[in-house]
Amino acid sequence: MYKVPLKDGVLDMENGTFIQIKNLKKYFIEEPDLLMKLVAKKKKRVVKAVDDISLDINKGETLGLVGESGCGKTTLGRTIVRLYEPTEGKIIFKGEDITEARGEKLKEYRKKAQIIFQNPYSSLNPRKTVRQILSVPLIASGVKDPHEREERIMYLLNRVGLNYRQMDSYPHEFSGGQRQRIGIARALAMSPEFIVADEPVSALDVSIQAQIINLLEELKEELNLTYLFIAHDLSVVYHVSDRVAVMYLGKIVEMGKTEDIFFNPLHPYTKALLSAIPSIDKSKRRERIILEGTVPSPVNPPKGCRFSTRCFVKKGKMCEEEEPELKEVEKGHFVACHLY
Amino acid sequence: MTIKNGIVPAKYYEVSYKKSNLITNLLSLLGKIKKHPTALIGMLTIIAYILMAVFAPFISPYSVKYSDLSARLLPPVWSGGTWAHPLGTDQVGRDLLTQIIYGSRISILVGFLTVLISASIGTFLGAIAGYYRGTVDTVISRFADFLLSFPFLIFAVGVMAVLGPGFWNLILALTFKSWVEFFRLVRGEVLEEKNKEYVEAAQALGRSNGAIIVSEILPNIFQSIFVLATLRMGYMIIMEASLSYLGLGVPPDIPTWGSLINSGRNHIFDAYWISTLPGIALVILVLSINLFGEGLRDILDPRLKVEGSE
Amino acid sequence: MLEIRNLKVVFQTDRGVVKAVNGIDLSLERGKILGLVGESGSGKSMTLLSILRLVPYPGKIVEGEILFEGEDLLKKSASQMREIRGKDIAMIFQDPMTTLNPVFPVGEQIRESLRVHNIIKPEKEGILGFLRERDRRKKEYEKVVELMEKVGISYPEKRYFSYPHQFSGGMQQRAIIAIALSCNPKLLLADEPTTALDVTIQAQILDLLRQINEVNGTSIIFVTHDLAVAAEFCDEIAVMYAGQIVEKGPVDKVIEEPKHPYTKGLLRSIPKITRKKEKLYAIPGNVPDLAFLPPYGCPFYERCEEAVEECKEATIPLIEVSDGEFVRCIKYL
Repeated sequence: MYKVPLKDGVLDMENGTFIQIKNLKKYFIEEPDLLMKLVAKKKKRVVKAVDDISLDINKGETLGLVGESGCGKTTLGRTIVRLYEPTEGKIIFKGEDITEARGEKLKEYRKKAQIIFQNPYSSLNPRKTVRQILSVPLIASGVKDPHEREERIMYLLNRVGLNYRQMDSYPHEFSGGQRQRIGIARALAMSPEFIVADEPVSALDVSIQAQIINLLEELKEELNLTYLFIAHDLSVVYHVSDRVAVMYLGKIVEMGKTEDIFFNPLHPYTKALLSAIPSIDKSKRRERIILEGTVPSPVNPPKGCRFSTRCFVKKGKMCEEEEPELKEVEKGHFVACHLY
Repeated sequence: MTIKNGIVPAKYYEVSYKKSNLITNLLSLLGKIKKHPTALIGMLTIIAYILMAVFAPFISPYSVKYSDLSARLLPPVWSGGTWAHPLGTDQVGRDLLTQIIYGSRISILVGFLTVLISASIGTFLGAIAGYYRGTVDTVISRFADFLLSFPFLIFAVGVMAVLGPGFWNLILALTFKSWVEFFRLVRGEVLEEKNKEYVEAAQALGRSNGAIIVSEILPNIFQSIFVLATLRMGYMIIMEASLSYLGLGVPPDIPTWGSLINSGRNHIFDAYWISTLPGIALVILVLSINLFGEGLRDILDPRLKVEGSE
Repeated sequence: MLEIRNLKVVFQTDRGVVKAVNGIDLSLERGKILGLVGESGSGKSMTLLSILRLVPYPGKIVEGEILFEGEDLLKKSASQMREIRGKDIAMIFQDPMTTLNPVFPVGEQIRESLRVHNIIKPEKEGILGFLRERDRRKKEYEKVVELMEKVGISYPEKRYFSYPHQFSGGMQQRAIIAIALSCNPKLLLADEPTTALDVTIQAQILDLLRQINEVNGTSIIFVTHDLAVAAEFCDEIAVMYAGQIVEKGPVDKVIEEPKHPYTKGLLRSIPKITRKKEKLYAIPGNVPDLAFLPPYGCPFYERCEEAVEECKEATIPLIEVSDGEFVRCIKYL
């Protein structure tokens, strides 16, 4: 029903997009308790994890979200599925503003937007059997009959490549890759349309990573899913994504089609990031750009362009005083940098 | 075996069909206890005591109120007494063996009830404080800190002095402070579990907070609560005995080990058995409970660690 | 300078005997970097720990020789090993946050390494002993600052007194490298030192390690699961699977002309950034359970696409295919 004309990654604003994020902010406020405030004069700390992000996700695409630790990509993913409450901004899902949805509306949204977690060891309740773990989402989506539930669980397990006879086993009886498959089954149980995959393969062995990536791609084809694929492994992101957004310190610094980002990076941070990827193929190895210093704290981001403290092609004062806006520089290719 | 697209067909993962549930868990736990000598001894002794308490009317030689003033202060069988009163009699002619057997009822009942109630209260408050944090947490935690600043026995004595003797007053006095231990344990564990991703997953599925606490978090911390409960039980039994010794426990017509020890105080030299034998019964029970509790902790703890990545 | 012969490490668990390391032969020349590549359960970390005889209980080294500069480390006494650890052979681990002690300043932890091995010798005893102690402390402080600078920690004089949690992940790892280098070891064992770090920090740390190797001539054994990192960083690679080495050789040869099906599978399953996107090849199945390894036959048989019947039963040794290249596969018998 929701058609999205996608012409070379350019969003057709007239017909609407699948998910629109508008000026989303997520701040974590650490408020010390009364005693600390009076006695130790401790002030509140505000961690600006996601600071004014606007982007669109098109139906049927995989948007890759990359960045290093502390950039806010995990927070963004979780905020989109309303695991965290947004501090400011809007999330519009299929034309509906679900930013403040509660009760029934929120339940409906949850059915359609699910999340897969990174750590296969802690994302499953160790005291529950697979059957119990998968029953929860099925009950939540209204499958009341226990026989029907059992059938659906069998189907789900089979679909993700597990033996349905292991339904009554506990998570610790499975390997990491198998546990991740259970996590995927759990997300699928709600029959979602959109899945946030938060580093789904980072904790897995290389040979299992490929299996899970293939599984995710197959499921996307078969069930017509849309993914937000968060990862720090750039090779994996390159492989699965149609478009990529690069985050730094709570902001998007570059966004565009995967090939554009990887073969024609514009933002200096993206260039540095790509240059650091180790590559098996000698011919593909890039000239390494070494970044000075470390990532500033998201509590006190630098004024102006956040990357200015480490940028190697600074333009001068403007970079330190004015924050660059995310502008479309080439077709479908956005950058936030004063160089453009 | 055809391998398509890197996904191996389900048959490859054949694992023997295992139905795990509470019964099988308990059975396997029993199996492990059997291998652990101290835990086993502890458990068997506790079971013996419980049986003794339950079947008291059937196994004690005399009725509990029976007293024969002509048979006062008779020594136990190894100090020159008769088998009519194998453990001797007290200063009003009551058979000590009967008194000790019946005394176990109070001790075990008090121990069990106190722990049950304080564990329930403590777990409930701890879960709320740990999960919701904020003012609720601060208020309850400060109150708990406040309670902790009183020494246990003195506090209990104070409460009993105000309320007067009585079984339920005793329970109240003992639970009033002991819930704090459970509160702190549960709060700490809930804080830790709350950050784990399976809790986030449940939130993402839209489960209510209450459901998450009860059905996701609690099963994971249940083992710690259980171990703490076992260990506290011994302590509660001692507390009951202490209060009874001070005359502040249950009404004097109900036999307890503590009041027996107290009543034998004046006869330590001429009729040592009145104080000593109940004392020994007490020590053995508490020791067994502690051995069992610690053995349980040993057995359960390493297995609590989920086999994670190498 | 390091030779490992037929190393076997075994764990007695209630599930059975786990053969964590099942007959490993390795050799490392002075000044070279050897990469040990494998997935979890391959035995690579255990091999490193065996060199320093730090295998955790209930594991035991049950067979083999580890010759370091001609002497068998497995025959040394506990106090001799303590001398060697940290001084001749140093080790760095994966998670910097847990390796550093959170309650001591970073500089003090580096200094501890100097003190344990008496790098800066105390002067002769005397009545003014305490003054000499202060003098010695000052010299150690200076040496630590020098070390911190060498590993790239800025403002070392001030940072000496910082606590680990005030350092970022990359700086923590540098501090650990400083501890490792403090006594100028001949061999550095690195157990996945960059796995927990961001990719840009990883690049920095790898550069640092390369510098150390080139300038000081320190040999390095680098354990990783990331073939790409090993390809860029190491001179030689040994690929491990289920406690054995399945392929070994100069890095270019192994990466460009892999011989063992497992190596080939690994290389094919890594997503590559090329213009043409292909479906990822995935090695089917799972890493085997080391408690239930068959006593004969190739451990990779179940997942191998080139397997033949004989693979199930034959025990294949490591075969030298050409100069310096070894494979453990029936196809090369």
